[in-house]
Amino acid sequence: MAQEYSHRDFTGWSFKNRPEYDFNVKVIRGSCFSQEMPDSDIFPDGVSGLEFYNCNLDNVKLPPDSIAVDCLQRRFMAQPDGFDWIVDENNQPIERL
Amino acid sequence: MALAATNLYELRNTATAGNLNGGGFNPGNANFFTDFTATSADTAAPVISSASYAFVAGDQDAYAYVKAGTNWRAGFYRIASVSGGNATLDATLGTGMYFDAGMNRWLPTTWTGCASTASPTGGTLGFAFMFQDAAEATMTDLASVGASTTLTSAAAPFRAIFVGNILSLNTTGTGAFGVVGRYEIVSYTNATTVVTDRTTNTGTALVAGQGRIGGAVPLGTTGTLSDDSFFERDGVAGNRYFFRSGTYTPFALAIAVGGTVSAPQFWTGYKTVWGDVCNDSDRPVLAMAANGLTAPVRVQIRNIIFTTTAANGITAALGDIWENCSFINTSTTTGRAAFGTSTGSLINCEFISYRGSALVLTGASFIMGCIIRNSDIGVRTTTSGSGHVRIDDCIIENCRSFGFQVGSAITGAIYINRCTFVGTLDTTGVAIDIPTGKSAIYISENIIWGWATGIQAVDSVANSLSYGNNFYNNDTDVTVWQKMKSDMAIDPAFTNEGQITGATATTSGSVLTQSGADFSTVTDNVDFCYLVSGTGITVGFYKITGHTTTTLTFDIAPGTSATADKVFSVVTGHNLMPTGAI
Repeated sequence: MAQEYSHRDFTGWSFKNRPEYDFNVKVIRGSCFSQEMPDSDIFPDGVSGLEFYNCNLDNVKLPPDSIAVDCLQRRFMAQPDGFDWIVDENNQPIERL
Repeated sequence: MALAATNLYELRNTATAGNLNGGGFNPGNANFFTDFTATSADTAAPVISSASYAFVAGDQDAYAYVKAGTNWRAGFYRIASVSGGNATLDATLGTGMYFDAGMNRWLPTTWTGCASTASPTGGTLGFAFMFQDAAEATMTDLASVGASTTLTSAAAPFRAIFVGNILSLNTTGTGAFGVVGRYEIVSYTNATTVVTDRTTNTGTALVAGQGRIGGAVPLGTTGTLSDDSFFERDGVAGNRYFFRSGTYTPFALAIAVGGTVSAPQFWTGYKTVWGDVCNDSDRPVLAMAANGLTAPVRVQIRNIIFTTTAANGITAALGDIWENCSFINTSTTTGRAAFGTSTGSLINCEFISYRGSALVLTGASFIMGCIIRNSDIGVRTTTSGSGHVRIDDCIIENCRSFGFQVGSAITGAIYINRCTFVGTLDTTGVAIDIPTGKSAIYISENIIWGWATGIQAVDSVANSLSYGNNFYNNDTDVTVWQKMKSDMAIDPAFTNEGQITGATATTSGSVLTQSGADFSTVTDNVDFCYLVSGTGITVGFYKITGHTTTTLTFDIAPGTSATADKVFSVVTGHNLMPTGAI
């Protein structure tokens, strides 16, 4: 388990252009990476070998070979009126969050 | 019977997720062995033994709970080792926990040893297995006959000292006649049989149920069979939940059962021992993200950081008391609240909302000694009924639009006493904003510093009071609001309150660069940058997580733009102890 990334609160964070963060071949448990817009691309380009367990990955676009087990992976859109919606792959509303 | 009000639960983020551990212990159980003796009991390493039970290796790291006995000192003590059927406790000063009835809290022990004499006898002791990451016993063949409270396992996993521990029944078993949930082991019959507080089945026999005894609970799995159901399903009034330091990622907590007037619930964050000093980043973090959290009624919550992006943030309920907690809404969507309450008491808490209101009061509330900062609006009142809002001895700092915005619908009185309203050195927003038609607003002995307008009213505020306030470094002290003779204009000369500004910064990813800047006074993970304007960025607050002389690194990327037009403000210092003659 990657201690430096596990059991951490990264809500809203982006790791693009952040060379101090190395996510290659890491096992991450119990962290929150939740974003407010669907398909948020937050991990550095070219990262591979990521495994997530019991993480909140709402709205996070994962690197192609990532594994996510027992994680939250909802797509939702935050709305200015406060009523956020779960959305489908075309970002059409399905139900209230 | 039912789960007991006296149950204690342990949460650790390192506990195995989804393992559905028992997580709890009932110190009120009446069936503990009463024949314990000890040697060296008044030292840091007492040795305990019982004619009724021979300790086994697996008992190590369980906590002995001394419930009663002449000369025994009630409390929890960790079993440091087991040898020859006896157990040696770690009874070093401050490593155990005892219940202080006067304070109604569990606290670290203030003594060495588990008794006041070397060789006490007749001790009543239970043993809690929740202070460990993994369950102590895992069963796959649990059985109970129809409506019976007798629970069996042919694998003989039970120990006599499991009495008082919580068993989590995690499957309904063959035929689905089991009732998933947590049960107290009320008494022990033998290694294959125990009695639970209530039946584990629907009335038809449980067969091949899976369950666990002991182990802490981590949060972060959802559904009926989840760690989060720990709160949602199994809590009762009076329960106490202890969160060990660390970050938790609950998926969605819908907590139905809270406390009562006579038996509130308690959620307490701690560092290493229940009741220890647990401040700042030592406090456990509940990262709620989009889910937010609505607390149940009459819960007393201490030493916990809540982060969220939900529209209403964290929401309190009737009779809740929050102490030494932080509420941070990091959403980049405008208008989101960090915390909302209609009847809460908030003591020594912190509130931040990157794009909205830090604290929204929808009813009678009491706020004392809190810090409300780095938000668009500090405190906002909406409805109040006939209840009153009182805010005493608080700091409202660096809130860009309003420090305290009185809503038009509020009907109760508002008392604002001895608070420090600090805008920015170059002034910003309105410290206290009062809409038309208001009455009964009492503003006394506050420092109001660094605002475009100190107190702003639209028309005369009936039955109001302005007493002993100190206005300084505001563009306009008051609009319409009437000062009184006791109001002052003396430089408070804060011990350390600074501001760094710039207007030609660029951004790339999470990094802001200002040529020629000196960010050496910035404190990472304490200071915030407010982006005022600029091409390609989202205006609002960003937490500074790193810096160099000319760059700031934010938690959230504000947008990338090489156009050197980003206007920003960083407030530093935050030591608002006045040194002036006020």
